[in-house]
Amino acid sequence: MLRQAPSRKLLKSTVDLSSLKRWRHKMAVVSKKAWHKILPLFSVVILIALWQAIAVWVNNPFILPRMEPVWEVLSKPFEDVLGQGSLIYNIFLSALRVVLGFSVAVLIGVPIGLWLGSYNTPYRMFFPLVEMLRTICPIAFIPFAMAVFRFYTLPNMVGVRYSNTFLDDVMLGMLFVLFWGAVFPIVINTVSGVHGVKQLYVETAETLGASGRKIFWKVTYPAALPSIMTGLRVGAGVAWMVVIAAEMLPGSDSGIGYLIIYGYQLAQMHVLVAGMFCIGLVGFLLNKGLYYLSITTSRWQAKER
Amino acid sequence: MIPVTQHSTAFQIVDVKKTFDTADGRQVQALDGVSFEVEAGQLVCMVGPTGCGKTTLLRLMAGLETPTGGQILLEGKPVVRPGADRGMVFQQYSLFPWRTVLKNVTFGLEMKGLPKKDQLKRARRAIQQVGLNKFEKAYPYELSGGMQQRVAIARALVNEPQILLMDEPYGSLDESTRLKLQDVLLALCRDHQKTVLFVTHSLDEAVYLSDRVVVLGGMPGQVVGDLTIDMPHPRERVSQQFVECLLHIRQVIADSALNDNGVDLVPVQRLNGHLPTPGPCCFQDIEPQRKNP
Ligand SMILES: Nc1ncnc2c1ncn2[C@@H]1O[C@H](COP(=O)(O)OP(=O)(O)OP(=O)(O)O)[C@@H](O)[C@H]1O
Ligand SMILES: [Mg+2]
Repeated sequence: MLRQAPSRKLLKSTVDLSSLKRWRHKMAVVSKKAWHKILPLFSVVILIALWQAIAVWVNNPFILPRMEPVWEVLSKPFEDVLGQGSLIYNIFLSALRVVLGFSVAVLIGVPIGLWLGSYNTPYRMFFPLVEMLRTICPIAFIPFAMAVFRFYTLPNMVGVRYSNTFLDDVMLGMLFVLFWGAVFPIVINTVSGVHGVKQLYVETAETLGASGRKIFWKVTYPAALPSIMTGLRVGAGVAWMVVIAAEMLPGSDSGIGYLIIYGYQLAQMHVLVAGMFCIGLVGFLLNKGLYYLSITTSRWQAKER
Repeated sequence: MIPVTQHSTAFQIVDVKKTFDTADGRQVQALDGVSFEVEAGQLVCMVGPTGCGKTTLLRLMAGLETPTGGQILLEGKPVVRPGADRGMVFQQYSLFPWRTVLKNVTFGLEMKGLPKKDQLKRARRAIQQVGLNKFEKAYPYELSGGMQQRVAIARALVNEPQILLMDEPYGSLDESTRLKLQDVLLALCRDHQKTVLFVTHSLDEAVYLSDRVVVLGGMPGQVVGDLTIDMPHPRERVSQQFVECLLHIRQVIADSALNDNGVDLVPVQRLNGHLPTPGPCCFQDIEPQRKNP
């Protein structure tokens, strides 16, 4: 039996209804996405409210500062804090140290990882050593670094005593410690990336006329890249942790870690909390940035079936 | 239309044996004394049950493995390493996942150091040939299995190797693409005198394509049959001759299985004596049944 065709009017109204429905659905999708973006902010708000409530209850700025003085510091990032330079300047110094130490770690760690991963004899010879050395916490290297590198700064390396720029605050010992923290995750992930390259891809390349160096650059390296990127992310994270700790130790006189310990010594707890907030923010952004970099270079891996 | 067979040998496979050491310390013999010769310009199909060493033999010919006994000569010289003169289409999906379809196909040409423009021109033509021109910017993970396999075929063909080693290249394709690519391969052989070794599980495909069918059998693998197919191209799949060829090969396979381990393959009883009306001709791996339980 054929169903009776609906009248024209009815048809039109159903069409309208369905388009309305579609529009509603679309709005629901959009608002759901926006909702998902906003949701994490709630946790931050809750944390701040909780903090403030406890601070008011404790009522002792030398133990738990209220949010107002903390915000006072955070809202004026370019103003001097306790005579130690602005918040931004100190963050910049810490970040600069990390970037330099990390860059050296990448420039040395990735080639070493590729080399150890590609050849069996060096791997057997050196990899156990790598695994032993990496267990030495970079912080434990600070006294050693201070003894070896003294107060040498970057400008000293090119024979300049004082450059009267921020570079005078970048000490080689600090860079060495950061390098130490970052290089092992990079080496180890690079090695495991190279070891994980499917033999099939190498064989395919060989039957297409590739050999030696070309296989390395056109197959091994791109196939290992996702794992190398993971190494960089972990390495950068470690470097950021280490720089804060290193700046808190004696002998340091700048950086966000130093600002925190200085604030503590002067019992300026709101400075301390503001500094901690900055550390969290920078660390978060650093990780996000490297995450997007790794996604763009190795999207294929996540999608591989 | 018949591929001109030059009477020079491409491959000489002499008493080749291959034993693998497995991860758990056992030894598996994949090939036991395989010998045959492949003439230049010949299209040879290899058929045989799974695990009889077809892939192993192709890999040996490609130079990806070394034989544990005997030797493989290519134009008189032992095969030692893989090279661009022997294109290979692997049984597994082998596209580089970090490269787009187009970049996968240009890979071999890059290795040859061709100018960029020529690379793209030739790659696009090859992609067109396998019917994927809409997908040249896609990544392998965006393609279906059969599409990936077609790209792999294009990638091997674009390199224009004199010898093609193809391991079940059309196994995952739909019927119409499969038929089309069979004709692409035949046209290529006709125009460029390629030497092709083609592994397939489809007897229909073997008879349609090849100048010769080598039947491998047993575990470890041996040559159990070697048939020349002397029919002009294009071949008619429902002709008497075609079906006879097909059934003959089927008989050889069945006999070898019988000799090997005293088991019978199902279709043999239907075949003895007379020709059945041509039905679906694909050879399938049939679970061996005990003859006398
Ligand atoms: N690398 C290896 N290590 C150990 N054993 C192997 C290896 N490669 C193949 N074999 C063994 O060799 C035998 C032949 O394998 P091969 O892959 O050549 O079979 P095939 O004829 O290609 O089968 P199929 O039709 O299923 O592809 C099998 O028994 C397999 O287990
Ligand atoms: Mg196989």
